[in-house]
Amino acid sequence: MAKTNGGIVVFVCNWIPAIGADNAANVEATYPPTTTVLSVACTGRLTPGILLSAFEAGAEGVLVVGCAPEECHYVSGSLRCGDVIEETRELLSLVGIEPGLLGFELLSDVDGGAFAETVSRFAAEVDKVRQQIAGERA
Amino acid sequence: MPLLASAGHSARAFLIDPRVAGMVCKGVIPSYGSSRDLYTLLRSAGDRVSTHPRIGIFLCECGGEISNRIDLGKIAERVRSLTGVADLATQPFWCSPGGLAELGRRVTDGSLERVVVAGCSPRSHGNLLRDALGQVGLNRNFVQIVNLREHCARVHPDQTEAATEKAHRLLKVGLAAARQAERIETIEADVNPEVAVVGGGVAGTTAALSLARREVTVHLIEQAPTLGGYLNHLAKLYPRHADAGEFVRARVQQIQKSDPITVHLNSRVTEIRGHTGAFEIVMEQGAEQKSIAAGAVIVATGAEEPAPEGRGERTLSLTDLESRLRTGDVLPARIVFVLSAEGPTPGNPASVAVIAQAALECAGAIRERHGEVALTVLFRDFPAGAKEAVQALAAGGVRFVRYSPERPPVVSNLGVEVEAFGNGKRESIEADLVVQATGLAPSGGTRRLGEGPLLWQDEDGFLLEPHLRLRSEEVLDRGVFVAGTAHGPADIPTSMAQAFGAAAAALALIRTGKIVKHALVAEVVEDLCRGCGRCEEVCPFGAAELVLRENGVKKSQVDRVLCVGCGFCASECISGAIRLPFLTDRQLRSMVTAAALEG
Repeated sequence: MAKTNGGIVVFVCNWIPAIGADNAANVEATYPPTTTVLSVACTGRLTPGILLSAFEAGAEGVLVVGCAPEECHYVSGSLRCGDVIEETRELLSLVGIEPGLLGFELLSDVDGGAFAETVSRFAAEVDKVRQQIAGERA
Repeated sequence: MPLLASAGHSARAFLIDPRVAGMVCKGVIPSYGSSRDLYTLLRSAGDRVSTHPRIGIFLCECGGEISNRIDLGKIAERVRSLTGVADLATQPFWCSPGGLAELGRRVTDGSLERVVVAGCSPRSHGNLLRDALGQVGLNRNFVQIVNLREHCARVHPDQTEAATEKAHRLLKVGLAAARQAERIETIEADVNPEVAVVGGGVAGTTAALSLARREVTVHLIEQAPTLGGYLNHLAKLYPRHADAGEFVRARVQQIQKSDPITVHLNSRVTEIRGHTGAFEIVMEQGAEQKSIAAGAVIVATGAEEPAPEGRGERTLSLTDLESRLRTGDVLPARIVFVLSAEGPTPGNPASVAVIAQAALECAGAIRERHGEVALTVLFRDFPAGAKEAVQALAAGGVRFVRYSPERPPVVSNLGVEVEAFGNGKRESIEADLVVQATGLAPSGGTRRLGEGPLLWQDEDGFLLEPHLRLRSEEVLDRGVFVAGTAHGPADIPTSMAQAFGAAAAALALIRTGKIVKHALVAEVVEDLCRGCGRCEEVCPFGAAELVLRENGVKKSQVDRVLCVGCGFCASECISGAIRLPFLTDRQLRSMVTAAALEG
């Protein structure tokens, strides 16, 4: 099991979620400061290797936020990413990391409140999973 | 190519990869894609990657927006001593003219190789900062923006300590990005000032004439021996009942008179290749093959109505009927129109709407010229706006029967069996002629060109353009535009409007004369490429393709003009042969590592 003193890495694509993240600031929405948003051109650019490297470095959880498939600026990016997420979850299971700690959300509009809520919800989910794991071990 | 290219990233292929297998065996997670990293290291001898660049960190208070919520002083203290940090300064507004000048001065005086500006979103002032630093010779990619305002200060109010911790982490991410940043170039490509229009129907001729009026040289390519396209099958044109034959004759004359238009008849376009500003349109003229160069292409290859089942003397398609009306043939005494509820493209309600419009138009023409003919229209639904036409026809003695979609009318030898919607009353209507209005489907040409890499098809085979309205300044129009029914079912005014739109877009592109864009593009490392072609498969933009080298080996090649930097090819490549210099895997991984750790 990887170190678990880290934060949550949030990958966003450079379009809807990235604009949503900026808008979150503009509508005074909030989310936990343990999160770090990283922007890539398209979530379809992510690979299992990159997602796993976050866990390797000690991230508590990894959330990938992309555009809804019909809004994807690169046509099939969100769908590609969906496949990559599936694979990565399988790999996580293989190395003994709870696959639920890798989240995947697709947004269809740039509403800042929705972005903040998505991130907050995932952070709460990660807490829950971590507590559950700790409980099972105790 | 199909719109939704399969991601093709099969779990099995992944699991047989030795690197992943190794990971599973050892129970640890090594860096996947290590050959790519090795390559980067090997190249780092040059100036692309300087392992210890001199970095300047510039913190922005944003007039208190940031400094009131984050302790910038504390951050400055903590990052000052980090590897490579050669300069550090804080200002209320780096984006101000004074701030920008100061930035430039510090870069020059301190011989800074990388700059991290921590302030607002890169969407706000990213380009301003990059352009300003570009003037003192700093590459765009060597300027990394850390979004302290939107990603931290504003979303974590009233928790200065936690926000400061996070800001520190964000800066470490920015530093990681800056350390590994590679130089990106500016791409320049010439734009051919000529435009090719494929398809000589209403949309194609409209676009060609519109461009010719602006003195643009146009190649109008038509596969038939005459211009006019679908218009050659129609009698009257919606909405003003103009005579289609007259319309086409006038069009042809106009085109013959306009010098900038070269018409290529009997020419079947088989392929459009090349890239924005430099396309090659390959066509067959009989047994000969010929190609034309153009800077932009307008595809107006149209749609067609599929032949109805049992087409013959007593069953015609709507298009067949229109052709008959055009030649003024004698019509039989009893005609029944059956308007399809679904059409050949069930996903496309416009198909049914357009055909219903056309059927009403036909019924009106028949009523006007052949008052003695008994007309019945079996329909499922009419488009909004058809009410008046329906009422006028009904008043003129045309019978309308609405059927339920579960029980569509059945055509027999004698006529049509129909069950009325609502009361379920069945009746058989005798007819001498049944006109089946089924809807529009993509024409052969539309389907053929849609298979190519530069165009996208929707689920019905109609052509799609990329979402041009949403492209950032970094991404150019691709230069292949679609107009008319190749896009989807449309009436003539809509087709013409689309043609004007496509002509305007093509004009805007060729008037730029030169394409200049920042190289946010993928790069192939040929020595690592094993020519599997997965990049070509997943590229939605037709930018990656396998080419045969002289020694008989296939290697991937990325067209830098077409590439938009989505990175699918790089993520798909199992050899690590495709890199994204603007954000390499190695760079992204070190950013991820910095982001994963708290504090």
